[in-house]
Amino acid sequence: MIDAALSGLPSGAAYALLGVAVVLLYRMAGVLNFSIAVFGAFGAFIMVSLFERGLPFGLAIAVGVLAGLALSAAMGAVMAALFPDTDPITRSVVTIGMAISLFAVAFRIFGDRPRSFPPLFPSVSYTVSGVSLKLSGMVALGLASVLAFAIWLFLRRTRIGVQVAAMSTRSTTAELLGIPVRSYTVAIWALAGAIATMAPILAAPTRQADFTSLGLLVVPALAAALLGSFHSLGLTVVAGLGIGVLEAMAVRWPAVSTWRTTLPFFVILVVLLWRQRGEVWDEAR
Amino acid sequence: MSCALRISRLEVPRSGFEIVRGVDVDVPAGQVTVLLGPNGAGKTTLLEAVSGVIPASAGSIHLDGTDVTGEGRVRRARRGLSHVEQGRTVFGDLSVVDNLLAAAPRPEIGLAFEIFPELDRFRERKAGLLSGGEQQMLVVARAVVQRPKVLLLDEISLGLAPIVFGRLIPVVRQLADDGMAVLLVEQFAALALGIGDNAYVLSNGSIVFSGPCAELSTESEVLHSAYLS
Amino acid sequence: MKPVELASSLFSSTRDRAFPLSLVAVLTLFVLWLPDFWTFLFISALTTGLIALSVGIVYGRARMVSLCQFSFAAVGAWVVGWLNVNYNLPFVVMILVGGLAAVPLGALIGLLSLRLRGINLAVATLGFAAATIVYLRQTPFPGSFNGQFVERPAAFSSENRFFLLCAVVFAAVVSLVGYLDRRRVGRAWLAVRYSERATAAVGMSVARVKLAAFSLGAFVAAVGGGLLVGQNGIVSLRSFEPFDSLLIFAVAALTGARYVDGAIGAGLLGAILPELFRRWGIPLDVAPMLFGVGAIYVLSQGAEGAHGQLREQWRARRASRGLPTEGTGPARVPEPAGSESGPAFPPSGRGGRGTANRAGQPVLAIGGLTVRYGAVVALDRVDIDILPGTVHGLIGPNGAGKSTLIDTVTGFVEPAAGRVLLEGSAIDRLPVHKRARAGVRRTFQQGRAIPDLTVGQYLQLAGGRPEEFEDLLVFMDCPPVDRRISEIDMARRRPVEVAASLLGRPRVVLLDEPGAGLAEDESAALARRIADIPERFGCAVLLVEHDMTMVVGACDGITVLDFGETIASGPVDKVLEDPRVVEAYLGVPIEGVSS
Repeated sequence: MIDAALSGLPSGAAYALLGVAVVLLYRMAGVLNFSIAVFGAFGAFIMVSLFERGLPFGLAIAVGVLAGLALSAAMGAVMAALFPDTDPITRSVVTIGMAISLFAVAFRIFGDRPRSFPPLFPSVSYTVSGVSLKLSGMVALGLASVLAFAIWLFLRRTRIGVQVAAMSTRSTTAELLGIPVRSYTVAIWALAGAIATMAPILAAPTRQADFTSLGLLVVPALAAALLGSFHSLGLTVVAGLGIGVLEAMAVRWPAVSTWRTTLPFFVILVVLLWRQRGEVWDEAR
Repeated sequence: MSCALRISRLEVPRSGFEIVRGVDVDVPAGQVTVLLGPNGAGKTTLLEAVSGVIPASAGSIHLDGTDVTGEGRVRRARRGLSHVEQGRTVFGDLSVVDNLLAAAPRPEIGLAFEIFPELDRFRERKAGLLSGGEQQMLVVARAVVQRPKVLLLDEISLGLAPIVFGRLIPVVRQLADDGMAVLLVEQFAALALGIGDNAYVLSNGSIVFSGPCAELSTESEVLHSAYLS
Repeated sequence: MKPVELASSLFSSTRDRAFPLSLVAVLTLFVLWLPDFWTFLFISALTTGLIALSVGIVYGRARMVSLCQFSFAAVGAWVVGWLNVNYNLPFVVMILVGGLAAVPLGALIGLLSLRLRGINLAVATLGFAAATIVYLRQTPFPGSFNGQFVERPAAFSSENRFFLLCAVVFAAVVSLVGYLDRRRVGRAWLAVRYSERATAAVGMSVARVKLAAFSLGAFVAAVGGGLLVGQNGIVSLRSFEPFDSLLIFAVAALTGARYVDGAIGAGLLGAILPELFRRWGIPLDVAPMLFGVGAIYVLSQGAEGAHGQLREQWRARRASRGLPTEGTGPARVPEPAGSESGPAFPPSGRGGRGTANRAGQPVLAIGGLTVRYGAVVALDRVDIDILPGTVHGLIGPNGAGKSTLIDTVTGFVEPAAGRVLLEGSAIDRLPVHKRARAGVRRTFQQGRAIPDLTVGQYLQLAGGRPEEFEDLLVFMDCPPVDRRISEIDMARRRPVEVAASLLGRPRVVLLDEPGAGLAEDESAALARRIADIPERFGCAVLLVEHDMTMVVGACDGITVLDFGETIASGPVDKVLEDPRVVEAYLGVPIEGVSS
């Protein structure tokens, strides 16, 4: 049972990383990005294509992450240029437009057949008191936690972090104070894009890896972000890992195995409704 | 060039309508320049065009002799222009100190608590939890810690009890005495004219009066006709 | 809805609907002339158009992001297939039942929307779509094993005939939506997107308004799904992908599916464009690429989609020529009041339900009201009696608890202790909209008139009858009924909000800084009008104001709050001379009060 649970860690780490990217963009750039996993899938597919053409694995990953970063930054620049003073809902609808366009572009470039992703790490496992720990799972867990913690620390402890928090609530006011809102916004999108590219690279070796599936990784990631209230990076990481573990355990449970991908949805629903029970009114006072 | 801010023949459209029509305003350093006018006269629109929130369609804006008309908000802010918007725009989720840190580095924010000692005991409180008067003090302080050359204040009295506004207005005078160029936009004429040097009256997007504040206080029919038109 | 009304709303010649209806007529003739292959595609355009229209209801009107409209369509499709296998019902009945079957599901998602808003709701609906597709993939379409196809009705079996049937269904759905649009619930859809509190404050239940939008949206989408089955005989349920819901959402945002012509446009784009591309040798996936980019571009121009923008331009052009811009509904220029329906308002002073015979009893009795936010006491045992026919002022420094008091009396805030009696009966247990209906109306400090409505539509939302409007607007010196509220500056919207609060025969209105932002002479005029309210409308007033000239000009009595406590209460001149009041609030004695 524990082995089964641990086998969900790479997927869980992917959800966690994407969730972190979603939370970052929501908190700092005021947008719920439905296309974030598509950016990541783009980077990952570029990585795999380069690897298939003989580029060294490490270099291919670097280029892939950079590509995801660049694509996300470009989209961030579009958002900053066209929707400077727009409400989060409209911006989020814009990212639906981005997702649809990018899906189409990706089918053009990569096709829709699954690719085989090389495993990131040799399949080494260590046995600690009867439980076998896979290297890949441990590294995935570590990567997600460390990244989230580093970002949290940066936002918390630096003046730029304060300025970013300020611009996320009132961007016009922030600009009037001389905070370079557009540059910061693009930088956040870039960072989110890089993180989002790591997610499919981690998860793809263990699952069906066609472009659509990787692009729709956004659904569990959104679930993780939701459980983190679109605010807490730590909770998001925990929730993402939890969803991954839950899915992996459900595989072993025939009664729910078929429906396992719907499980998180119902869990989220219950948690959310319970947590939001006091939110009788919208924020507009 | 003696004027910290010079607005020349400025025209500003807003959703298709010309709201500001060929306005000239000079805001010299060390003075409080008062801009009065009835609701809908275009005062806020004028300020927004000066700070770059909305674009002007014609005319020019000079900061310390430099033409900034084509520049963005951030550039203008970095040149020493600070615009305190209407409606107490604190960053509600941030503490008082973080609100100030967003505007200026840590060594410089002490000034805020010198001009508004009331804020000192709320340093770590979220700005959204302050009272309206305290929030207004915070946004003024947040602009002041940037040591701007030009300070634009948009109806800081709005929604405040008279006693709170009475607390703010001498601070504005003091800032000017320390060398800042202040453009004070107000709906309530009396208090503003009491501390101002020069005044302009805006009506339907045009300046209908300009001159010393003292003169305007005595010629109340100028004000009256502007407000009634 | 009576058939007559339906027919009249369908064939009404008002300008607003003349354009889309004539468009439909021309298109229909054109399609009938086309070869069957193309007619088939135009049938797809209508079914897709219905699903786009459902987005236009939930998102376009009420601004709730729903990313599961194709899941509702799947329900409609499945039910039609199931009915076809198990019961031999007429096709149109099956479509209707299929549509109705999705309503409970829509209402369920609507229930979520009562607590989940904005992005939370968007995520939940996308999650719902992702969960449904898992079930749909396991579910074979009824009849697919033994080839029991859904057959078109005999009279409508040809492509041309079936197209006509679809067009009629489409027109009926559009009329239903249009009819609801012109009712209070339709106005309320545009109100909840702006402020739920303001919607409840005029007596509308936010829950019902949202559930209605989601239920109607689900119904319309499911009807679309049902027609799709009729068109093809059989469908694969796995084709109702979350991705399709995203796609139709983007296309609906692109064309502006809040409007009928926008929904038709969305259907045409979704069904016809790919075929054209195929013929021109353009790869098919270029279409969604264009939809995404197009949606982004259109959104950057404004939130209402391409058709919304066309309409804005049309409005602007008409407005510049001085023509009426909103011709529909009860918001039309009203008849002079009193011409046939008697006096628009209850007789002055004595009016209303039995206030006169219980003279002396307060209209609103607030007793021992205490409100705590955590450790902070916002209101501490506040008593206020508002007597019939009076204007009672409530002043105090910022944060004294004035708005909290209004929030508590109207039901937005739960008090820790105390009671509120309206004409002797307790209203503490009632939700906001029921208190509003019982006769407690309010305005908001921030100004909460609904920008998307015209003045007339807003007054209708507030529960007024058209014949009341003219007098009321003249009395409050408001812009005319056909003026859009978004075109009125913030300060002048407040008097409109005050006017709206006077509709629906309130017993007491609570006005929260109605004079904010007005110039001195304007607030003086507003003060005179407020002073006249009790006599004209037979209701008492609680007035929160900072502007002392207004308070002095309008009020009979006054209560001063400071840190949630009453520090003075009584006649205006006495209270304003009270040394505690002077110290806490005014700073200096107000000149000219005692003179």
